[in-house]
Amino acid sequence: MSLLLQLGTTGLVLGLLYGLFAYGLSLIFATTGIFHFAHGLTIVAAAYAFWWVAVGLGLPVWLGILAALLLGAAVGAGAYQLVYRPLLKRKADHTVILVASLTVMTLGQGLLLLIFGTGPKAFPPGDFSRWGFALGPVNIRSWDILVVVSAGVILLALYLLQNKTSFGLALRAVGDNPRRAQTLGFSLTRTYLLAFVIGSLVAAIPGVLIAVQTPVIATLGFSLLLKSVVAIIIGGVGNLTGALYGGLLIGLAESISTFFLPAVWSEFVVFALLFIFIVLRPTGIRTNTARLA
Amino acid sequence: MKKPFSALAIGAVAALLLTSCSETAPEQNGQPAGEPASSYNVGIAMVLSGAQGDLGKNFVEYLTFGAEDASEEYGFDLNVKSEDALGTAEGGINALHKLVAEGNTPVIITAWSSVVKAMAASAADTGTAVINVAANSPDLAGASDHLANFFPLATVDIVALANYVATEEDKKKAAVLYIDNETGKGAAGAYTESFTAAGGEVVASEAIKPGSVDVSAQVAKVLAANPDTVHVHVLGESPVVFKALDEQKFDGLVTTYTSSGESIDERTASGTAMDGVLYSTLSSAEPSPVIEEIRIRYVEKFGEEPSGLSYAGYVYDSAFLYAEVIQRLIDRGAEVNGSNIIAELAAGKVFDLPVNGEVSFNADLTTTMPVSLRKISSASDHPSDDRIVATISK
Amino acid sequence: MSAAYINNLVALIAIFSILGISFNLLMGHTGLFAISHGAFFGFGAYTTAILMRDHGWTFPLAALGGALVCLLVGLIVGLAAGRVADFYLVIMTLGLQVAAVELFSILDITGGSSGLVGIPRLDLFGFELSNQLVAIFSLIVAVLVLLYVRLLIRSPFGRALETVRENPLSAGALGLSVTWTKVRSFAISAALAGIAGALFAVQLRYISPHEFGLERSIEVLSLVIIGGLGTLLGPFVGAIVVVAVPAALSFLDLPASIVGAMNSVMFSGIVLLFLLFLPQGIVGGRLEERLFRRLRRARADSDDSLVETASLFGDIKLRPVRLECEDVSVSFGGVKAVDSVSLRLEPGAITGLVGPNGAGKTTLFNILTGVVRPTSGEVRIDGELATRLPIHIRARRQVVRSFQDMKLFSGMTVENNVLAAMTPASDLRMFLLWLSRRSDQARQQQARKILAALGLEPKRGVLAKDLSYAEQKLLMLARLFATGASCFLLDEPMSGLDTAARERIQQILLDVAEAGGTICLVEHSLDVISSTCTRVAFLAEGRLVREGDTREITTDPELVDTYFGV
Repeated sequence: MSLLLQLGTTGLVLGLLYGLFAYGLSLIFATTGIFHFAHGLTIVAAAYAFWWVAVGLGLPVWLGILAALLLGAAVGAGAYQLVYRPLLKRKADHTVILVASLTVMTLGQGLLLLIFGTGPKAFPPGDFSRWGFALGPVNIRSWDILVVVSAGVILLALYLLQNKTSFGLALRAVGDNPRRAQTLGFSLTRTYLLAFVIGSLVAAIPGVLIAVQTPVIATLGFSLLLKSVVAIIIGGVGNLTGALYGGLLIGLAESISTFFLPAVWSEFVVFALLFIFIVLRPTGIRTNTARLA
Repeated sequence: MKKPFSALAIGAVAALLLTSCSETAPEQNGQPAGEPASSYNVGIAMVLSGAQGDLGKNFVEYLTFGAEDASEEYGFDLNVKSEDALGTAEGGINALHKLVAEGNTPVIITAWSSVVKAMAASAADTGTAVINVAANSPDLAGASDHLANFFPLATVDIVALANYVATEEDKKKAAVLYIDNETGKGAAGAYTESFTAAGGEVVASEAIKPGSVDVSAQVAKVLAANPDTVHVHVLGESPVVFKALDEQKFDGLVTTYTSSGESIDERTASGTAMDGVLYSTLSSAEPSPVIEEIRIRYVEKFGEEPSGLSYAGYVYDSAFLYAEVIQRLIDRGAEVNGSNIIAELAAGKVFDLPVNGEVSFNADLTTTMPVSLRKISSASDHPSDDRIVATISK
Repeated sequence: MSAAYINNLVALIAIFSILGISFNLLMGHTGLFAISHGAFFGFGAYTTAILMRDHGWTFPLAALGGALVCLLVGLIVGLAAGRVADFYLVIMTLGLQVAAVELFSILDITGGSSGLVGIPRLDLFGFELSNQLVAIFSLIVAVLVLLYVRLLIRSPFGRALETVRENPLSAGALGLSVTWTKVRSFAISAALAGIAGALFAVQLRYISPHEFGLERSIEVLSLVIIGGLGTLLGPFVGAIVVVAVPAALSFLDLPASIVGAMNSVMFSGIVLLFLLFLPQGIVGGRLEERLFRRLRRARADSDDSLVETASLFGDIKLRPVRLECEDVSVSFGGVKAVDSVSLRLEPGAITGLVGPNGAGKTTLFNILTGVVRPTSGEVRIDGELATRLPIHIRARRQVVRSFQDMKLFSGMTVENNVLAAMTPASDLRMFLLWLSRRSDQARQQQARKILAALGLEPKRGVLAKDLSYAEQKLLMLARLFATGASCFLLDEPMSGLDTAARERIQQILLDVAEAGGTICLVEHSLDVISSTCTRVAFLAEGRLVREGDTREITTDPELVDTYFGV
């Protein structure tokens, strides 16, 4: 039982990471209609940036975080400006955009490998990381707390942004009806860019969190991407909070399934969830549209 | 025929003509017999890209050092030609063909089980000798009549480690965390068998996916079974595992194997979480001074510490092995080609090599080597400074 | 340069060409973006390897086995694909891809993550081929695959694939079972990839799960894009680029470690450049056009002597079909779009459906044709329950509709648009293609007649997107008539047209009604209603307010005021 609780805790924490990542992706999709595969690149780039500044160059940690945020945002904005925007202007088929997105991801991954080399990049564990306490039968690490606090801050910031600022209004208006939003004076390109930047920033923090805990390798982005996609589908495409819940569900499912099955099957569980949701309810658990035959 | 298809037909015929300038028999690749040449080529196909790339690059350097030294000693030059095997079967085969075609190498030094297996299949076709210097998958034994496994196969070192832990360290309950592939599964199996035979019980065993971000679930699961020792057999993921064990306050004996124990990167990444870990290596009792020399040389040349020093001995020695084989072939007037090289190794005679001392190949072209166990007092030490706790000879 | 080296390259080029062709069939021709060809490749390779090594089968039979296994997997994926759209398809096939590699790594029969060693050499019923012959054999198979796919593309089935790519909804509305077509496309694409896998297994003679992962799928995608999506020769060019360029690079003597990462960066970079600046690939666009134009011209000439028939149907009577709905309702997000509507459409009658915007007219059409399922009430065709019938079945039961935005197959020619509409499901075969060709020729005659009746015959070779607006509307009608249906639901067929075009269409509609057809129009113009329709039905806020004879309704000043405005 205590094992189950421990697994559940780990699962929730991981799930928060997945959820944040998925939220960023979902935000971009909801606003621009583009499925940004290269979001996986954002998180890895952020992780590498953090490592390079904080470990490689030995500069203070907060500079590393800044670097991560900057690079993450740059990747998202760059993908939009250099790739998606020209394609959209050309009215390219959306499969072409999907393919382009995938390609940006593999290109970026390759570049990172070239630049940083093949060895995994680790953040040396300090004394802080050894700190932890027990909450009943459950062991809580300092990292767990870090993740929860960061997630809380980010989500609060996002809530304020979306509901209390004009930026948030722009995002929602454009996401809802781009043409009408345009006639109301919203700039599509600027709003799209905003969506990409914010979505990427939201993914950059998980990147830093991961870099602190695990050695960074370039292929990290892909498996995260897969899980966040599943999270989005479970939560309902275009539904932002749904993506968050989807991420939590996946983190939990992944961890708790190890209680019953050998650990290697946990990925299968995630994919099983994916298949189930796609076939039965492609619209996810939190949407409510009428059935189209 | 219609235009585009006649174009294709022409293309097909052209290819046919090109390929027809070949012989039907598997060609021998190497230098002609008779007068000893002034230089001989040695190919090396390693994983040079991707996560394992650094290790592969280290191997290429070890061979280069060996080639330089052997050249001095033997009087003919050994030219090293390297190719990236990418870690896949296709990559391995391409590398083989490239080395044979362009490099004209009668022998190829290689590692990584999947690459070795792929090359083994094609080695006979091209008449190339393939020498495995770091892969230990048991099914490599006899995979091809042109493959010699210099590196000891099967999991001799793990068996010795498990036995030691059960008998000398007096551990009764073990848990195993292993990488989810053939190497890991093989190791887990070997550990379990040996530990159980020595009177212990393996209470939990979990596989870890390559590239996992978080392993706390698996670690929690095995620790829930209350082991007094945990064996960790993964690839680059070891820091994550060691840290998780540390975070979850495991205070029993943690063991691992060569690849993790001797990896500078992994030790740095694990930090203090790796202190006190016992690991097995395949090297002789007395650390060979040659290894230390190799290490110093590497640091001088590149300004950083090399990894995989336990394998270094085999890679370095393989140059001398090759040189000695060439010498023997010259002496009896035989051509230096792949088949003859293999024959010379299979003859069962003894080779005296700088690092590994006296080595001879078994009938199935495998070797048997001693195992030593080392304990890490501080992960920030250099691996060769770790204390040797025990030696199990051949 | 050694012969073995060249043999290896040639064989790999052939294998990747086949993979490219199979992927192209699915993505380029059918418009389905799936990222699982690495998995199909793997299923084929493993099946062949296991059958040959562990059961002693000869290569041709083992390869066939591999193709069959892939066919099955393709069928399953296709069935799932039928229910989901584009982006979900990518995700689903991504999941399949990852799961397949897992499967290969876990099972004992596939040798687990250490792979299968000792695969025997390629043999043809006992006769072993040398490396050189294997390369040639692979090339021959590649050419055969190319020829087959070419025949397939130009057959009615190929046309059906194109319609699925262009506009699946309208393809279904014309009677095509879109799901079944997707399934078959997946099946055959997978089977071809399986054949490539079989050749791969005997070429390398050692396979491991890593060879069939996502990187492979992306590699196939890249080579097809570089060569040219939707082209026939593109995959060959792409395969050469993908196989030969790294080989060439290596002769440049770059430090080997850079080459590995360089490859990946270089290829992604090249693909991205192509997508941005040369989306049609190397072969795409005009090159292949020019190569194949000779053929098209040879075919297209056949029959120029076509009498312009004044009347569309002559003396032929259409099979009368009665379409009705009984108390149907449907809600979207709490709003009742259609509220207990009962309507009867009789043969020979032209019913006008009028009402303000948002009254639910299009939704009612959707219910009648099967695009939307009502939450209550029934739809009947000739008295038989049809509420649950999918759109393409209703089309086959003679009930067809047009869309407000026409939904033509814009990238296809006028003639092909019509041909696609008139090809029965029985003629959409994937094998014995010469049989379809014969019946296709007969259909061409019929198609020309229909086009002539609508004045589109001279434009039969023009792409639908290049027609004028009025011509597009006429084409839309031509397609509907080509299906052989007798009940037509037309959503604003005359909007945006000038008087001459309107009159033409009006006359056609009157002809159709006279021949026994059932027509229902959504219209806003009082003139059109009074001159064309025999009955009028009013819809407001989802409810049927009034229904009756045209004259009595149009002479009621109150109704005229409310619903037709000024």
